[in-house]
Amino acid sequence: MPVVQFAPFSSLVQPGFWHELTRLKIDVLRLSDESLTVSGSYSVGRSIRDRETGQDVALGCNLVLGAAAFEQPLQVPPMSVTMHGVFKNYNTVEEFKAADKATTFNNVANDIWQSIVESRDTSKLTQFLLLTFSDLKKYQYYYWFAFPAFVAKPAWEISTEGWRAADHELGASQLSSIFESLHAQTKPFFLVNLTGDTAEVHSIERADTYFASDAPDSTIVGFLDPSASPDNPGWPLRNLLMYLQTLYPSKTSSVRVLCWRDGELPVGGRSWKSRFGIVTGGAGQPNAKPTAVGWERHPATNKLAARMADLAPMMDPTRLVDQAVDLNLKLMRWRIIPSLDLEKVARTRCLLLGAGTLGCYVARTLMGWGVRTITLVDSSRVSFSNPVRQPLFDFEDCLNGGKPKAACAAEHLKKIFPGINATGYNLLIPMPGHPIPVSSTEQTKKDVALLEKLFDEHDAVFLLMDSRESRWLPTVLGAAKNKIVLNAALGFDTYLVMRHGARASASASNSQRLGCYYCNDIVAPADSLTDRTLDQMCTVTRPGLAPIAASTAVELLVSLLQHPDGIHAPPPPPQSATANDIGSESASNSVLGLVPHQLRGFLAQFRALLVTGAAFDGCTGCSESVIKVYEKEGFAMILRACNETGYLETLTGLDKLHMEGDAALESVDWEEDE
Amino acid sequence: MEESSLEPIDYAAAAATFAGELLCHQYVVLSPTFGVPTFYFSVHDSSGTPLTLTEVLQLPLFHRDAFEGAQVTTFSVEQSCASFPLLSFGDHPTLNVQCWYLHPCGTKAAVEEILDATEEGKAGGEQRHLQWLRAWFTLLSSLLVDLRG
Repeated sequence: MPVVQFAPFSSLVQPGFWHELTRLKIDVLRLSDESLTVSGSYSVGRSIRDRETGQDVALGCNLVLGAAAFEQPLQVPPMSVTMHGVFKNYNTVEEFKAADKATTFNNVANDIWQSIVESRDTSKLTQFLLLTFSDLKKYQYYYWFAFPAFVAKPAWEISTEGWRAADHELGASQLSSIFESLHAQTKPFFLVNLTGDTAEVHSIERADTYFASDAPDSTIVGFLDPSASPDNPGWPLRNLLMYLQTLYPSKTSSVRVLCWRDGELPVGGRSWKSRFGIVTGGAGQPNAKPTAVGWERHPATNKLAARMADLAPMMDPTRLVDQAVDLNLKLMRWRIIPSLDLEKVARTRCLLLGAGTLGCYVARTLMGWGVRTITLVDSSRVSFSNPVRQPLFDFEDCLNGGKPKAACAAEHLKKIFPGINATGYNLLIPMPGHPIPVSSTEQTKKDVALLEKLFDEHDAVFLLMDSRESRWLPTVLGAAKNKIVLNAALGFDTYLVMRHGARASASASNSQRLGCYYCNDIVAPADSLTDRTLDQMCTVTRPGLAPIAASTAVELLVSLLQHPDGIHAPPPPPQSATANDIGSESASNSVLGLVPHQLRGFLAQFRALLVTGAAFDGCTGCSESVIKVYEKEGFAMILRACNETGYLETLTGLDKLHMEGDAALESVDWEEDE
Repeated sequence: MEESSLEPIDYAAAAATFAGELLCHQYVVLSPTFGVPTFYFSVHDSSGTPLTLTEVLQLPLFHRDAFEGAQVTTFSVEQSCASFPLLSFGDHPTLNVQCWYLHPCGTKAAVEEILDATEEGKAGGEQRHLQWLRAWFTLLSSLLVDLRG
């Protein structure tokens, strides 16, 4: 006959249990590792009907622990019973791992055994063990349940008819009587005495009376069964059978078992769920303590291993902010643009060259889009005029000479959103027209190496500086490394926001390559900063302009990122020269709309023009001739560009262009009217 | 954390049949701010780990397109309240647990639209309360798959 296979307990912990344990540990236990009593409950086994297959899926044999687990006594509803356990919390994960689990388990099992043999009571038959380690910094809880059950030798066997529906053995009115009795006073273990049409439920401790009776068939051993599996009775039956066999060895070679699984009276033509079976087992040695098994297996691997509950997402404030920010963005996607690829935006690492007005607003808008990595580069310190226009700085940051801007901005970003990966570098970018003094050459070389590394480590670069020539080196680096480069520049009431085109050698030969910041200029970048008057030095702009330009630059980046061609996205076709043709389906559109090359804004007219500029083969910033020399000579080339006047013109052939231009001008025959 | 030799193989233990069950607590609460019934719920797995947002949205509890706005035709987004979020996270008004909830800002208008469309909905007095609740459950069932689980 087949061996009875009992359905093991499956722990079900509620988050409230962990919250309560945390509170207990902080307020009461602290470092104490004394054992405590915890209480859980189990109820009748339940199944759920799978809507798709129509099959019933049996739920696990659940022991539920909630926030009230540490309170005694535990209140439970009818048709549920409590289960008490020994609880031990370890203070470090090493202690948890190294703990002598076998001994602790055996102690609990011994306790159960003593209660059977000496007290002859059933109150400890379902005693369990729970070991935990709470990592209160990370809100993670390691835990391991054990449900000690004595191993019967020889094992219990089920009759050849197997487990069958209870209503095949008992009549409906008998089952109803049992239900009424259990509902009024729920017991984990009980005896059923059948008399005629009805049944009486008695305490299991009165077994001796009923086992001695003349009609053995009218005595049934019952238990509240948390299993819903048709052929597997729940775990509590194991120790119950051991209890009966130990105390009544001669009467229990064969036991009639009722697995009670009806939490409600069946209605609407449904059948009774309870099961009935006859189990047999040879009498072992009644007074020798049997071995016990019952450590819970990890549900994912089925191995004997501890489990872990990770409550960080719901308890760690940093994670909560993370979730909230994500929630906002995700809702935008679901409700409006389902095909928006937010993850792509979030993982785009952004390098911001310049942590001034533009830099601060760009950083803020990027955070709004969920970008997780923002690096700022700036060589200056926060000055008193900054905080009102640069929203990442406070008054305090200006004091004592002023904090270095880039690092200060990064710190503020972290204060706003702790989950941001923000760093600031204090770096002066070398510029053509500003010769590098010999004493600074070594440092500048290091700075350039760092800048190159930053370019390699980021996906999109924003040029947000306050001069024309400072954008030259980043343009070359961006072109050489084929990075997405966004350029924003401010006039008094006008702005330029543009994206640099892809590198020539990385673009398809027939595609129209888009230009960079310098492509439309026939003058190489030179010193525009020295000998300026005060009003020329401070970039005086209408205050509303910087946020407009900065946020436009970010939105341009995001629209670009959503385009399947990325950096190679084509400009909008000429007829959409105004910003009105958002709805037109075009290969140049991303799901967010247009991906223009350049936007020129005119605040005086509250207007923005979309401009497309082709790449110039002789450009001092992005032409192949310049990039190739940079790739070959590296820092030496940069040094020459900064130190030697005319170097870039010669390199790109602009000097010849000038000569041709001058010659053409000379050759014009100006007609003079008589 | 595995200790495979902790105990011998147990031939009388049935194999684990069910793994990955989730426990979902659902509540209908009167929103203190908006004065309308609000659906609160919390979900966790058997270890007590609450589900993350992504996992919550994939629950079979919701219709697949519940959050795309297309299905929920009777939820009009009002100007007077924030457009987002439809799904919020916060404290249960009385139980001191954290729950997800369906934001109640559009509920009043949506329910009244339903009531105006039916004869019974125009009833007055106590009947009106009953019809109001019925309409509210209708609204809820457009988002949730089976309220009785």
